[in-house]
Amino acid sequence: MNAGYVLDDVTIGELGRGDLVVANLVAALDEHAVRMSVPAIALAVAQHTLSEAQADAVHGMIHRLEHVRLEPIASTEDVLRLSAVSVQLTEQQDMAAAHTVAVARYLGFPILAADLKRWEPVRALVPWELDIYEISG
Amino acid sequence: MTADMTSIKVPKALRDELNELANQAGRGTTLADVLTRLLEEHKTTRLRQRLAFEELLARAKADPDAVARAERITQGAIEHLRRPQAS
Repeated sequence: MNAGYVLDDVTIGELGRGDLVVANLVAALDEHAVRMSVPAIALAVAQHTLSEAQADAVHGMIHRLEHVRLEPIASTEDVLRLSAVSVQLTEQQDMAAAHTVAVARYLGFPILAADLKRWEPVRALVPWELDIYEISG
Repeated sequence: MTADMTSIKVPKALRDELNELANQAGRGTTLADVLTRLLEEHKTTRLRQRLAFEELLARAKADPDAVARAERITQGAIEHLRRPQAS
C-alpha cells in the first residue's frame, strides 16, 4: 500500500506512555502494510514528557515495525517544506505541528491524532485543509 | 592474531576520534577493539529499544478490550485511506 498516516506528537507520546490501544493500532496498521511516518520534531517534542525507558519503546517501534519510518530534516528541501508551514504558526510556536503538517502535505498522508483538540489552534492558523483521523472509540 | 585483516578509509577526523577512544581505554587497545566495543553498544541500545516495544506490544495484545478497540479503529483508519480524494 502506498498510503499511510503521519503520527502526531500526542499519539507518539501516548504510545510511549504505554497506551495499549495505540500500541495495538500501530501494530495492526503495520500488518496491513499501512505506512506510518514519525516526524522527527514531533518525536522530539513527544519525548519531553517521556522517561528514557518510554522513549526506548517508541524508538523500538520505529526499528521493529516494517512500515514505520522516522522522517528527518535531512535536506534543504525538507527545511523549505518545514519553514513553509512553521511560518504560518509564528503566532503560536508549534514546531511539532509544523513538521507533522509539512510531512503530511509532502507524503499526501492524513495525520493520525489521539486528540483532535490539539489541532484546533493549528487549523485556525494554516490556510490549508488538514486531513486528520482521530483515534477514538 | 591471524584473522584476515583489511583496511577501511575514513576521514582523518574520525580516525583521530577513534584513536582518542583507544587511548582512553588504555594501553593495548586497538582501533578494532574500539569499533567492536562501539558496535556492541549500538547493538545493545537497539536490542533494549526493541525489547521495550515488544514488551509493550505483548501487554497490548493480551488486553482483549484494547485489541477490540484497536481493531475497530484500524478498520476505520483503513477505510479513511480508501475514500475517494477530492482533487
